[in-house]
Amino acid sequence: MTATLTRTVGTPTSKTSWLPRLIPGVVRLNRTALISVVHQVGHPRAIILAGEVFNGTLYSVSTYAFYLPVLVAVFIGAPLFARSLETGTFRFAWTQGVGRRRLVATTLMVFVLELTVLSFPLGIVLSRLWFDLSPQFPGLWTNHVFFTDPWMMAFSSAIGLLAGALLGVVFRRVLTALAATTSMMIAIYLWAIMFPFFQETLLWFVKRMPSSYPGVPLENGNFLAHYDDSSVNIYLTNRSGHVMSMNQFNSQIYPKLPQAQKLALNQNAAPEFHRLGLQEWQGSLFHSQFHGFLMMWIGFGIVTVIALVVAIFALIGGNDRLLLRRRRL
Amino acid sequence: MTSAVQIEAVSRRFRRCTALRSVTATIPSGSVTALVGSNGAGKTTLLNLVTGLLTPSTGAISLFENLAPGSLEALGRVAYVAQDGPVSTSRTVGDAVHIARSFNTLFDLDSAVVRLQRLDIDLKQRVSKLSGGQRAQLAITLALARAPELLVLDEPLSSLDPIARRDLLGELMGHCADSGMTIIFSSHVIAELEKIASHLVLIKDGEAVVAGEIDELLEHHRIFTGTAAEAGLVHDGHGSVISQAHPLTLAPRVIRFAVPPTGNALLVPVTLEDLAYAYLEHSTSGSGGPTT
Repeated sequence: MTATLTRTVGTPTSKTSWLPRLIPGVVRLNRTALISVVHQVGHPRAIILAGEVFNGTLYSVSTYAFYLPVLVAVFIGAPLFARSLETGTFRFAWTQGVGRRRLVATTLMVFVLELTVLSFPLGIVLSRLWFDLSPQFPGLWTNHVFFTDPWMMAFSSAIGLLAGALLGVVFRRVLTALAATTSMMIAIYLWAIMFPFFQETLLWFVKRMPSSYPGVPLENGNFLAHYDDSSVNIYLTNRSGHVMSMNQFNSQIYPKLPQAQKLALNQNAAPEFHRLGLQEWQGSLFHSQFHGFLMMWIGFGIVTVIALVVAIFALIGGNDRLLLRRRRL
Repeated sequence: MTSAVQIEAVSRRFRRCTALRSVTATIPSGSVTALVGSNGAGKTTLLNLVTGLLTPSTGAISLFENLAPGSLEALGRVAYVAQDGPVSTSRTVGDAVHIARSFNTLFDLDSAVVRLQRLDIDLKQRVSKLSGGQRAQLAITLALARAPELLVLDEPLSSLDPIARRDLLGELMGHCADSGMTIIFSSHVIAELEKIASHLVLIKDGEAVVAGEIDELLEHHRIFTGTAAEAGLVHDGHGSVISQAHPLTLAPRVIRFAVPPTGNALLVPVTLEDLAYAYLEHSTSGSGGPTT
């Protein structure tokens, strides 16, 4: 490696060439962590998961997709800046000619790019596995285990990385950052597995989205938006097409339903819906809000990514311009 | 003479303490400035402010007349060698050189490699395997390869052996003479500072108690060799006592004069070491700012 040292710089290069010049240095500086990303995203694990899928544990596909941002946040994001802040090597890196903001931006960019390049295909693989086992869905892009969607994989990984990096910058100690990131992820996980609370939270978002397709009409004038035949997920809309929570449904709509529909809902049986005349219901017939779920989460992801990046740069500080005009005394 | 660094009433507060209090100093271009102070006096904080790693709580610092520390224009002209662990220890020396080259527009790779070879530092060796002195030399090599106009060194001599220390000081003097580089360095080895430093900034408890050209400072200070009774005759109305020979004798040891004294047998010239120790031991405060 060191035998390749050559004289390349004698005069200043143009001011626009900082990024291509900086990337090799960032890659070299973070080589171990970048290799670790490959391990974390873990294509071999996807193969193991594939075996689990074909053995019938279908939801393990989305389980891995859920754990991916946790792994990235704890093991990649948290130590990303915390290590150099703890050991003092940031004093070297941040006083180099390139400037600390550009250095931090390029470091984040390299990791996000790597995560995207690795997790996006993994998302396609996982979605494909789901699709193969759920042929009622007409295509790969209507996969409703949205955690395994390729875009979601990329966004959730990026959010994990940035969240871990932010905590690393806040705590400036590797072990503390690891512990804080793990705690945060456990808190999110607990929130997610507390299903009613999770569902109500999601509905809080969904209810604020406009509806363009009301769903299947029920006899009381409301609409069945989405019926999930493998769980108790039932989404209903009111007459104006806004999704109602289960509590609202139970108190306001359910008592007014005919007995047959009540029975069908209680039994959670799709064929009963068909028999009752809800012929429009198909696996592909998702309510627009549910179609919007993915986009909503991607939108949420974009906002989260921007907020995390802004927070990281606010904590990193610096006086060198990245996007802003230069500051003079 | 233009100034490389202009520090104006700079204070820096941290959560629980104030590291610097209204420090004012001017570091001329092409000078070698020694930053002296006891442990925890605020030397590293001041250097971090000059390099833009920290921002002042109050006051202002300008580099090269009009540049803000940490700005891209300033970073391209300033190199900093921090006191502890400046280079990632998990990499090889060659990696560190490549990284530094990648992070800078101007980087003389040849001179860096030649200097490391001269110091017998193998490019394939891991930084973690280097001795403290070799790590310091590596950091200094990377800084010098950037051909900075301002070189900031935080206690660069502390981990070097006497020969390496002498060679480094000579090398730095050579750079100063050849390129007009300005050097600021903090150190506890005051006797060696005297050989190369042209200016002194002495910090005590976060305040710059002395700042100025060393020759001028030495001219205005004298060691008093008489008794306490004779002291008043010597300095009364003309100078102020900086330190005492012994608390019980009340005899002054170092006296600062407004006008350089001449022809007094009780006064002998001070060395930089005497001067520094006198101010570091000086217990009174509120002198109204640094002596210049």
